[in-house]
Amino acid sequence: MSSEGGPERPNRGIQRLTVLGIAVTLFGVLVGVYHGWLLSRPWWGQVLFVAGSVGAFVVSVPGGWARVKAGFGRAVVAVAGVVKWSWPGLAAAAFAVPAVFVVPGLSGSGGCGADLRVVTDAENVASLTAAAQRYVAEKAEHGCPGMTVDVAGDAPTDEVKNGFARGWTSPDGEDCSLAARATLLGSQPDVWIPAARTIAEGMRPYGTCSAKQNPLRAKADLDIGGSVGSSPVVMGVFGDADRQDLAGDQGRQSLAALLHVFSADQVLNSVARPSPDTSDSALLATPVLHQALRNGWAGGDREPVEKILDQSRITAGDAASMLCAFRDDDAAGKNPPGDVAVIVPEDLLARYDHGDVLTAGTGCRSGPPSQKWRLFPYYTTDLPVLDHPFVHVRWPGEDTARRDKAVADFRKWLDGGQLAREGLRSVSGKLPTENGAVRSLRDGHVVPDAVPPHRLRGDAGCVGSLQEVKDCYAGARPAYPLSLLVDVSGSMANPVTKGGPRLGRAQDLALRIVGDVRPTAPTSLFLFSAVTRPETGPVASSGSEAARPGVQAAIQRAVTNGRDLALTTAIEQAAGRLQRGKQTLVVLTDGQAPSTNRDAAAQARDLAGRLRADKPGLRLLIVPTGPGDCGAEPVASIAAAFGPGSCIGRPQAAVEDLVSLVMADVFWG
Amino acid sequence: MTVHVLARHRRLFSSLAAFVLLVGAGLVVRWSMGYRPHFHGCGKHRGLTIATDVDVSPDFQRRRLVEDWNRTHPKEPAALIEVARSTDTTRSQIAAALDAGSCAYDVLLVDVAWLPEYAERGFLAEVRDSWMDDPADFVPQTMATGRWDGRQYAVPWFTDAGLLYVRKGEKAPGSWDELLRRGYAAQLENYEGLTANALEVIWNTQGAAVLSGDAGGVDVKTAQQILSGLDRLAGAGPALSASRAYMEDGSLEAFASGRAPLMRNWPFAFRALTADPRVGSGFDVATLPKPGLTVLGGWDLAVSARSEHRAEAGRLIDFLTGRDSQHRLFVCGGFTPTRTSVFDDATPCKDPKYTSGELPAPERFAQFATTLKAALYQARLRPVTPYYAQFSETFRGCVEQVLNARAGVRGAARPSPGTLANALTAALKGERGGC
Repeated sequence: MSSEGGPERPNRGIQRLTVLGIAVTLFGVLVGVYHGWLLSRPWWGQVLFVAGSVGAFVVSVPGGWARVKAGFGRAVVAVAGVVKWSWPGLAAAAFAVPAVFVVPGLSGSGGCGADLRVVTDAENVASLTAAAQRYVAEKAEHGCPGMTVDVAGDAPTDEVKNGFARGWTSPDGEDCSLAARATLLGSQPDVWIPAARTIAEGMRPYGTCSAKQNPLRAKADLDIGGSVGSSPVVMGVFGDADRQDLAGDQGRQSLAALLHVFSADQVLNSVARPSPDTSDSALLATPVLHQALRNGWAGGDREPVEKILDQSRITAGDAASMLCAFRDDDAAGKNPPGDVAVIVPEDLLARYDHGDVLTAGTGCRSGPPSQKWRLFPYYTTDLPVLDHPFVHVRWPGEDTARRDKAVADFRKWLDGGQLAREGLRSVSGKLPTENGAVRSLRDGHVVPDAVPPHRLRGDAGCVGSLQEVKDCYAGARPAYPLSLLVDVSGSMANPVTKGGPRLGRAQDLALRIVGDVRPTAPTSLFLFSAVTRPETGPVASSGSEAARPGVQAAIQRAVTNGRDLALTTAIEQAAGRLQRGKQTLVVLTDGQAPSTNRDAAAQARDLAGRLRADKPGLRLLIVPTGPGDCGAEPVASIAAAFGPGSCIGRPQAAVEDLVSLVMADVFWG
Repeated sequence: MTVHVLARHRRLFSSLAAFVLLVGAGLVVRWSMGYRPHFHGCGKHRGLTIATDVDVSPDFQRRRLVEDWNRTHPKEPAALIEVARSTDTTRSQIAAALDAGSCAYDVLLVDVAWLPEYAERGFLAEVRDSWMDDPADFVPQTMATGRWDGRQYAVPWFTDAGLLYVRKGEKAPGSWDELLRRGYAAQLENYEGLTANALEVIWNTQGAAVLSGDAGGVDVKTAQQILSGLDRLAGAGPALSASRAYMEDGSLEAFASGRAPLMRNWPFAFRALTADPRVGSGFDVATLPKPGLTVLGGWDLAVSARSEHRAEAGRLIDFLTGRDSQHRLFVCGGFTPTRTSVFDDATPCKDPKYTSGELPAPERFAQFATTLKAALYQARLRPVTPYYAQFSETFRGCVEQVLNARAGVRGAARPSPGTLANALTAALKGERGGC
């Protein structure tokens, strides 16, 4: 009551303040919900939510409902008038408007016929390739021929991170400009499915190159979605060690407890895992392994534990490669290392036992193992569960609606549990009926119905993020200096039987080796030929993570440029440039020829003697690229002079497998 | 008067207005729901880019050619973008980028099998006369690989044809009967090599180049011929059984190690074997036994239809496919040239870093060049279709069924001619099918 605005003014003021307060609160909530949840809902869901929120706001305002009802009444009258005079036009629009949403030219093209590029964890390539083939076949049956899905394995995490930051190029030390040559890490992925979300979240591109500076070097946009399936990492044992009576309730013990009971009963003596430098499952399992082995077999620090793991009788670049090697040994009639437990993903172990394909490439046998080579899984509470997130990757110059739709369609298809047929569990860790491979492990063995994904477990400070995992792993390996001595004489231009020039293989090996040493370990690169002599010093060196790309770039730029420089001369010149102390000099060469290495045996004996006296901490390791191996001269004589283990010769081995052997030797040999 | 007209046709104008407003509102809503790209632009860049697979040639000769271009054309520098070793992955990258409208790549290295697909999808610019110096110098079969629907879309850069490698001390087989009876190391793993090798056996044992060039469809009679050829392959000697696990490097290793005294492989093997201390010059090279039909492989250079540097890209192609460049690729890099004149000049690689023994002796190389040229003139195209990938996959599936059935693999069955005809005809049209 007020005639001149006395008591009514405060009421109106309070009303306005109330409305403002409600509006601000509602707006804030809406924004938060929109970004956190609503964006993932379908458009009609978003509309309903917003309309409902606005309606709630209107009702909450004093007098608002009455005003709404009055306004609604007026609107009805107005609409009735419009319909009366415009009904022919409205009827025509009833047909035309839906056409806007349906007709392809107007509604935007679908993803039909697109070429999808999928990159996944190397251990998952076979599964995803099989699934992709089924997807392509289904699309063709449903009127969408010409679709292709190319699946490739990803590179080690450091290279992948650099790749997302710089146009998917491999490290070459360049800034945002484009050098005369750039090597991609394969095709630029539209879809990336890493082993675990921890890996994906550790890949946020940090790059500074924008699309304007150089679209070929620009960083990607990563949209990390949900999981497409899961697979727990398990401890696999051979038949002799299959003791379910020791395991107790499956999946209710820690790895440490499980290893303890197995070793106490003398059933197991060691544990093997693929190389964490190239296997993401092994990398993620490493914190738990360190914790378990420290409490069990090694005691104390991580370094002795890592030494045990690196020096296992079984080494491989990744779990698939490890299991392929088991198939080869089985076919050759050898006996399995029955006292060794292997740490591998469950889906791979199941595919191995089921006789399924393990790799997308050639060279790995298929067919179930013989009884003695069967592997039996044991589940723990703390080994990681790989949750395979679906990451939509967008690249400058290729970001279109059509590509977006194609990716979304593939994602939707995978979300239907399609990877169950390839051995994966559901997103929540349940064992689907279609998962024949894992179910067949139940033949006389306990396999849990559910293994829910969980946060990474292991030592505190080693599991919070991908960087922590990598730092702890790197910290467990010694940071001794490493020098590479790469042969760039004319014969290195010739091919190896695996394909490509010998220098190309040497470069691949060198790049992996440099990627695997601790970032703070001093690293040097020497090249040698009659033209490029190591006595002038290294062509590149590094002692930090920031300087490493410079060494990698120098490796990539190496070309052949002269005739042979005798191996002993090259080694002597490079060694003369090194400081004293424990270190390794790795020689990458095709072995040259006796004709250009006269009197190699005597020269090598003399050199070895002098180096033992002057630089007792220096270790020489020759790695032939092929076609010759450690038995071919002059390498055989030189290796003999420097002592056993001075040569690792596996010309037919894959680069990842060979490097894991080399690194084990570099760190602990 | 106007008001009178409006009043009389009130309903008509109201309806029109309502229709236009509603459809317009629909279009606005549709636009608002459309995709909002994170990035704009097609990837404009300075200089030229060449998208290729990884150069694995001896001494990376392709890279060196690009370096030569950059030295002599500093205002039009070229960057080599090497995608992957795998040809499937390289194809996937190029196709995806171009399909998305990217202009990041100017020059494309195109496997001859992909060209029809790329041309059909509008990825390639038509070749202009100025991009090819002396077109008559190109081997005619290789020019055909760059043609689709009557138009030239690519310039042949290097090519491939199958050759027979024979260990010294062994006699080269005089017929396909003898070759199959004795067995030889081939590439019969399930990949493109199986397609090439199986086609060669079919063509040479049946005396007809079926499934070659413009193969619109496959009738039952042709399917019967194909099956007869595959039966010959399935019944061949033990060396061929081992080849089911080989790609090029596997068969090379089998030959170099002495396990297989005969080998079918591409021309690159000549340089690889010469440099292998186990072999050196201890082998001869011959064309495949008469009729000597071989699959024509190879790679062409094309300008991307999306490129914003077409003229410069054309000049680069002219340089790379020129006589001097091809000669260098041939004698130093082991690539098979597409220009006839290059075969007639087998001057050895002049690079002084090679010692004798690291390169083939001049006489051997000249002999090899003659054999290679003869093989090239007997080379035939694989089926030319925009759906080559589907065709090859289906064909290989059928070949595997025949081989597996003969090997007694459980569940394998030799397809009937009718089934094979239907499967291959569907595949050539891009439809799914199988044996």
